[in-house]
Amino acid sequence: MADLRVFAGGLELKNPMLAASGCFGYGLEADPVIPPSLFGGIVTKTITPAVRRGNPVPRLAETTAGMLNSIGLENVGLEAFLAEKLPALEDVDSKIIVSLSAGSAIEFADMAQRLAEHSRVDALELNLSCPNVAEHGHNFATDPGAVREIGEKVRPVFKRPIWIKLSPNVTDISAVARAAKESGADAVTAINTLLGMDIDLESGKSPFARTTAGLSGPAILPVALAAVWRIAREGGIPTIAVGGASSAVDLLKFLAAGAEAVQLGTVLFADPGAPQRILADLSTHLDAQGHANVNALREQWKEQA
Amino acid sequence: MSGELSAAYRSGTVRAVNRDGLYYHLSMEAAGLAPSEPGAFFMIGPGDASSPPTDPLLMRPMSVLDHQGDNLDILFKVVGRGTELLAAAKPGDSLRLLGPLGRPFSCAANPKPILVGGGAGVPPLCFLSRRLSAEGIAHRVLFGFNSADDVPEGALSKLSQEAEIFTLDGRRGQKGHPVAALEGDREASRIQACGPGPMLEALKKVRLPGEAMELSMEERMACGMGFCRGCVTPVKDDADWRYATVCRQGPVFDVDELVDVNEAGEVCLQEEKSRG
Repeated sequence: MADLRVFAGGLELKNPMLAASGCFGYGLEADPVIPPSLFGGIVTKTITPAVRRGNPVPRLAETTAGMLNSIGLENVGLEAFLAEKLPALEDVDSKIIVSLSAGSAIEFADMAQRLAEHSRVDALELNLSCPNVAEHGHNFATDPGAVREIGEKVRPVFKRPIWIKLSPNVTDISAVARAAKESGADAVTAINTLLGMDIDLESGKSPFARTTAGLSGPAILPVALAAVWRIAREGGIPTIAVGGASSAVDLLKFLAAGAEAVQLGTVLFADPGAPQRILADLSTHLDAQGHANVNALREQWKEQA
Repeated sequence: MSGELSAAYRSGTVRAVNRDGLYYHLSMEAAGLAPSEPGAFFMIGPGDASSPPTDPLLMRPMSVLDHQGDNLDILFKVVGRGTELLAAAKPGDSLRLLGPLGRPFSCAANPKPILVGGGAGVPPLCFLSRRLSAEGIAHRVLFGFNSADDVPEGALSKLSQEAEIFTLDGRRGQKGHPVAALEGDREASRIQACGPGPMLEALKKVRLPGEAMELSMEERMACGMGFCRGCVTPVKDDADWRYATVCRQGPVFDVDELVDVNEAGEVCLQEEKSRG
């Protein structure tokens, strides 16, 4: 049986499959239907300094092979996360990557400092790219200067790996990835949801209170694949892929495009059997190709390049 | 979160799909599932759990009409692409099932239950009525439909006691809304309801002071297990309020837990503006 272990974003993962932020709650809600220990790593729901109620309903709409969400970073806030959610993950056999969002570089650094006190936190993912909140009128991740500033403030206070989650809603994602690298981050996570919307024909307006929403699911996989491929070539920083993966084949495509690991997002809503099946199919694929581990497959791709 | 999930994700086999009034009655063979309580629901989607389709992507929440041993019965209305596919399923087809999910109705004799259902909200109350009857609990059943043609006579014929039917066109049962039957003098009961928003709002207005009332809420869902946070409704939280998931903390809520959804939404948007 193939060895699925990988080194990704500065972490030793038991397999290259992670749960994406916002798509697996605080890690335990779906247990035992989706056992958290299946994953090489779990990226938590994004935590903010204070509790957030999130956006009004409707928060969801289905699209062709995808969905729109407007959750609005609903979360329990940093202190409740540290007191209630993080301790509950003590026995989970996966790396825990805490996703965080804040209004300024200073706030990001303050949160990172608090999180650094907790050994269960294996890495941070700075969510600079949520499309569903009002602050600043735009995402930090559309501005390389803002990405660099935030990364630079967080780096000195958090010694474990730092990932920065990027937005696809930019002209040149590799420029933002380079800013992340210059700030001292260990990896970038690409991509967050695409900006989208729906129209309710009765009202002639978007059903969402905040008008636009984030598009995810299999429909965005080609966009994510292109972003990962571009960052791998022009960004100079390791990439954790996310965007529409729903099978082992999708996961392998991301690895071939240059990702070090792959996060599952929307598929966890649509198909709770996916994580188990993907791991089994990944093993089968490596065995069938005669590869002892994921790196052997990477070497083969490199030789063919 | 309210307790560990008892749900399982499985493929089930369609036994039959039959038209019943405005609705479709889907009967499936589904082994390896925990028993369902009235008010519980399943996420149901086309295809097999070993190779699920990606379009339409999400399974649909469907409340349980009946669940006996390996047989699961669902009564649903076609409202879009997902439900169209389920209505077109043939005997022998595979469907994906995740469940049972959600907090069910209570099943108790005192105070006396009055079940109030409107349209597509009727199925879980049929299940509850049969369960109450099986336990020898006296109760009333009030069901409303837009038209006599909508009435799922097949599902109603399986009740152990006669339902009081109300139709807007007056061609079956009494003309009007079931809530009207609760106006005026009556004893405080336990109202257990599922139906359109305006019906639930009307029920709140005829509620007697302190009367027990359980409302089953409906909201768009993605995961059905409480982690996507898509299907929320506002609930009291000490002096404040917060959003609870309909799929996990609900779908059945005590009326005293609930907060006005429009007022809550306004508060959210104002808070968001003050941050920006």
